[in-house]
Amino acid sequence: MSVLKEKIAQANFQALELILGAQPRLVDVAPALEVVPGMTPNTILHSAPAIEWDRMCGPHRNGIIGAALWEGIADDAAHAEQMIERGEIIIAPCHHHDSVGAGAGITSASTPMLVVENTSAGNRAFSCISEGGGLRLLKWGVYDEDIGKHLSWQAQVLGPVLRDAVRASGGIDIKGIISKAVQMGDECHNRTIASTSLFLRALLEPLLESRGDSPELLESVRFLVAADQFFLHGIMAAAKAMLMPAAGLEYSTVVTAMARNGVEFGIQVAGLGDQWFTAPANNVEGLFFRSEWGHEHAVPDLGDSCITETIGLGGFIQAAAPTVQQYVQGNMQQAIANTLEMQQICVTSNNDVQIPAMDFAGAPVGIDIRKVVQTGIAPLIDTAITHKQGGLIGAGQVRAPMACFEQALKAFAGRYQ
Amino acid sequence: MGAQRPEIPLPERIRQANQEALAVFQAAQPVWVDVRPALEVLPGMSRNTILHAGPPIAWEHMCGPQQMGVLQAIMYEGLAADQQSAQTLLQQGGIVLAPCHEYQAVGGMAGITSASSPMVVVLNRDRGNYGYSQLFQGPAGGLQSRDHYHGEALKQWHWLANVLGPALQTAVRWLGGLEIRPLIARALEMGDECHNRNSAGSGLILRALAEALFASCSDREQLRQTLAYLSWAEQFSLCVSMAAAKATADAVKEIPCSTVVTTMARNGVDFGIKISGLGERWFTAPANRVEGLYFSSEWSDADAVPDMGDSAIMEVIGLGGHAQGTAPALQQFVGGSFDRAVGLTREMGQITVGVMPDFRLPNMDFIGVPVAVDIRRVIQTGIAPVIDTAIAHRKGGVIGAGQTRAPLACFVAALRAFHQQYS
Repeated sequence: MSVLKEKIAQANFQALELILGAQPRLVDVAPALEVVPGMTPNTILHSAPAIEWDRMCGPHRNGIIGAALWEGIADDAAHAEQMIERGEIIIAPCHHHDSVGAGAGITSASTPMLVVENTSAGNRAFSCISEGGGLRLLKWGVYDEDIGKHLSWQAQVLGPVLRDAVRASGGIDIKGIISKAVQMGDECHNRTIASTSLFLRALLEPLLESRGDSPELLESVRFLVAADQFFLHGIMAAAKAMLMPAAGLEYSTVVTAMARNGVEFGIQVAGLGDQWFTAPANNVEGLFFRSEWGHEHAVPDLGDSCITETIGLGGFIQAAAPTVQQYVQGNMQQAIANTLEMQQICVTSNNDVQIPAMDFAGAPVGIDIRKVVQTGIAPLIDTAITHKQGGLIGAGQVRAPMACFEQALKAFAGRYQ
Repeated sequence: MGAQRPEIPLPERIRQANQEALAVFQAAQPVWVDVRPALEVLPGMSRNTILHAGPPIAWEHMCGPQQMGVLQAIMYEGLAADQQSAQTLLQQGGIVLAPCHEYQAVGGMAGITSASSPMVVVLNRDRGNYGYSQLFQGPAGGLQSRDHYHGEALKQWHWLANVLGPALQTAVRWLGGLEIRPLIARALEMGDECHNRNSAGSGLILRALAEALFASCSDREQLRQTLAYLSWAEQFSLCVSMAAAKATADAVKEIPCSTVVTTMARNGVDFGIKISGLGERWFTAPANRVEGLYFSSEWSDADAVPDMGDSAIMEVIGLGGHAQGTAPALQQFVGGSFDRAVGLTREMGQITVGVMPDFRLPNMDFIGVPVAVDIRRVIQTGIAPVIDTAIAHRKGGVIGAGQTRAPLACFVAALRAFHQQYS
């Protein structure tokens, strides 16, 4: 083995030790301004990679304007736009603030954030709390008065209730929830029903303990019971927290972030620090929830949620969640084949995430850009489909564009050879 | 009277009757509507009646766990002060011992159910009949001395009757009932086969009850204990599913000419079945051993009671062993594999009349679970129903889990009786 190859092998081994050794725990819930590094009252975050205002997709533009109105920064949409153009509202990717946001990823100062601590390395990552179910959410780039009211209720009522319960719980072990949920049919991206159920189970006693006599408790419980995919955002923050310690690890070819802004798909690679390698985002193939919707209405791939694939969940473990095949007219055999394919581009397998229908094989984890380029196999991502004007309209799957990996590998060669 | 209708040949009458039986399984709408003490709800229940799992069995022939449970129930109900006088009372005929199944009820493991036992009440809205199950009596933990067992059981039974039972009662009533069928369908999508694995179902029930519990339970300590129990008890949904299965299977009874199994139950000595076309007659054979995994190395086959409990009602409605394909986790108990689990589900397809279309198995491209065991097919193929089950210690307590087969001899006896009645 050449010296470089040997160094890469060692670095990737170390990267996987950091990622798989991480212990993500939900430790707090707090407004973004209080906890997210670099957050300011006039900053609005979106799903990565970074993109100029005039190139942004509809859901991002709508969502950012919506957040500006909800925060009371701007008087109306035109005013918000002026402020953005003048730089009075700062727009930035969630990823640049140790955060991840599903869909449009809209996060502003008052947004209640899930605070996840990786207790192995001591770092923290953040994601907004889920707005619950429904097609019209700020997360999908829609904003109106009702959505604003709901966001305010989340900030004023649900956020503090969750904060108190999470603190009373002493922290909730997200790694354990993921392990169990995968045994229960979640791939932890497009399906998080079991994870959410396990999270709720862990939270009920602390809810009673911390808020037993408050009128807010019942409305919070009612919301949490109905929001059956609530915990995706907790898993996303956990994934970010697990990957952060590997970022900047010299010589490692392991992917530490994948994210999409509806226009471009971007990746970061451990050995290349915080540089993004981008290429045009692909269209998502899948099921549209209403017959009136089709590909012509959809924005390309959008959201930071593929941070789950970056730690070997979602599209990497489709075989654990055959229900998700219903979106793509797939079947069990196809799901298993997809998981086997992802094994070919990963460094190792994760024994904390075992796939029952594959006789408990560990999930493929640690995407190696060299393997992606050598095999021509691009990471497979389970994801939602968003309307060009905002709104959730479907779900399905998509591939990461090969060009990001080719560029990254070139940059890697330039730096290390 | 006019001319007699031309006689329909028996095979055709059986085919029609079995299709009718299948339709009744498929149409069942079990709804959890209440929790009430056995005395208030079980038809024919009395203060000195004690019910047990499985087919009928005399006191002196009962296995260890059932004998212990019966003595405990006599003392718990205040019918005798100690074990000695409880035994005397039994010998004098002062206690009515009967199967749960004959009181529209089912009981997991030993199945001991007495007048004060809080019962899950499930209404089958399709036919208007009820099914009942105890809220697991326990203690199910490790092996204990007899005195320890009786002490723990007394505490646990009082807690069930005074804390958990009333909390669930108010919550379920507050909800106006909980549909069990969609809950089972969803649990199947989440890796439960709904007999040995109930992690998803128990989580779903807790979620379904959460708002009702917070809204209806005014005693904070009672609520805390209830939430703690439901958060911990990963097998809780089984007792609800069993009552739902009983309400479903009872509706299939007494269809003339049907060769479909309506009951499978075990008392640790005998395995018994009932057949729709043969009404309430039991057909029994010695219960098989359970092959599986012991939870501690101190236990072995020598400690285990043969197959026990009414929980095989889950297999009667197409779950448990029939649905193994969805729960590969259980293969760990028997050193199996996913292929083996799928194979068993397919095998059950050979001895059943049809499928439950809404009980789908995602791992098997969403086929419905095979339901309605036909005794003729069991005999023709030599394939006995496979049953997922827990393993009980001879002296009480659950010590393992695995699977077993129904003994073929019950089916042979039932088929003979069927020919006598219908040929």
